[in-house]
Amino acid sequence: MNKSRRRAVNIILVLNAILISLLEAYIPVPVPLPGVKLGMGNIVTIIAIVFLDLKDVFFIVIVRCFVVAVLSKGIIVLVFSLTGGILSAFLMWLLYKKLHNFFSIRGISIAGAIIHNIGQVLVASIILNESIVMYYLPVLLISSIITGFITGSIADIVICEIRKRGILSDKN
Amino acid sequence: MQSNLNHFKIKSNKNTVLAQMDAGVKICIAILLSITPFLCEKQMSIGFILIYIFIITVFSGIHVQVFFRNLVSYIIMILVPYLFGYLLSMLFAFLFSNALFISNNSFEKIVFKFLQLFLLFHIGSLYFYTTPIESVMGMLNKIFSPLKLLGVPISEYINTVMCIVIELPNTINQFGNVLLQQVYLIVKNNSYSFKTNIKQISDVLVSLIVKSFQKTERIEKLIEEGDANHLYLYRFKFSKNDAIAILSLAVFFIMLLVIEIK
Repeated sequence: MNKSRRRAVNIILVLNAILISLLEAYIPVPVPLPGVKLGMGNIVTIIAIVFLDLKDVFFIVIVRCFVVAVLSKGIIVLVFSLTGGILSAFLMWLLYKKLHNFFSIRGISIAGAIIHNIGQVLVASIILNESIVMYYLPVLLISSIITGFITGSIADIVICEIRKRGILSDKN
Repeated sequence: MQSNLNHFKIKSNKNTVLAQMDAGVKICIAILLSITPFLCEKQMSIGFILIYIFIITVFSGIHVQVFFRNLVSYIIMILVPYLFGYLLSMLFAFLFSNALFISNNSFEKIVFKFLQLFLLFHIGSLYFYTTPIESVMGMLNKIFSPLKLLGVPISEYINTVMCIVIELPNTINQFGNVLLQQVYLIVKNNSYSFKTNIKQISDVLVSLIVKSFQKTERIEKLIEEGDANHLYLYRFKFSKNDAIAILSLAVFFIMLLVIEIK
């Protein structure tokens, strides 16, 4: 695959991630608490981890966070989503590439959701210089197991279908 | 249903003083203003900064929706976890005369911190609201140009981001409504089991991904056409508005200094 085709694939995945994230507002969250999100954009990150290399995965995550923050004019979102996004993408990539035999896509998604929330609480704790923010972590961790399982289940089916249809088979 | 997709379509008013300023001058002012609240020690200074930022906010003509969305994000991401933690730490301290995490700061100090952080995020939002993305990208292209010497393809990255910005409205128009209707129908129908819901949402996403890859060649063409060096070149242009902004900032800093020294 040539360079411009690879870039086009990345752009399409970022666009899909943004669009899928927007769908979230219409899917009821099983744990309706402030700060708890389904994280549907994570589905595209998992697809990228399965079919592309780490550089492309990071590219998709960073560009997605940046574009969403700039277009929605919400800089606060950028700080939190970048930290959570990069941490979870790296952990999920590590689990998929190195410990594939021990973790299913659902497990990887749950791990990604957990580290995403840990990252975000850490950022809040650092910028506030307050450790009491950590009390919110158990709430987010429990919810991330549920949301990670849901997005992981969707990602699992989507990845199987993509493989069956050979959509991203020539992208590596 | 369309309202959520319109988040990205809110355009800034190009006739405001802030929108007509040079992107470079504006970012310097924004950085200075973002740092200032963290350097102030007196409450009165924060009050003064709040007034100044309020005036800037009025001049920016910011959409109320954008302001409140940012405020809600701030409350959800920072205020709620803090208040939850604060209440729990108080409860644990009361019940067990001990707590795992204890607040490092007094209530007064933390309110001060919340205001400082809010100002930081609000100034950032104002900058992006009043600056066209092409100017932001052109400026980033210039700022990071030393990295190009190290072989980092900055122009390529900027061009890619711009391709996404250009293509996003088309993607939303092409797939957004259909996708929303499909998901809405799945979620609305309560008779489906969890497994069926997951399968149906997955089918919708697969169909989106399959259709989206049909435009790979068009996106490739867009990439080739949009060489960042030519399209998003930033040129410094100092106008009357920039002079007024710098002058007002200088007056603001002098007054702030007087408050801090007093």
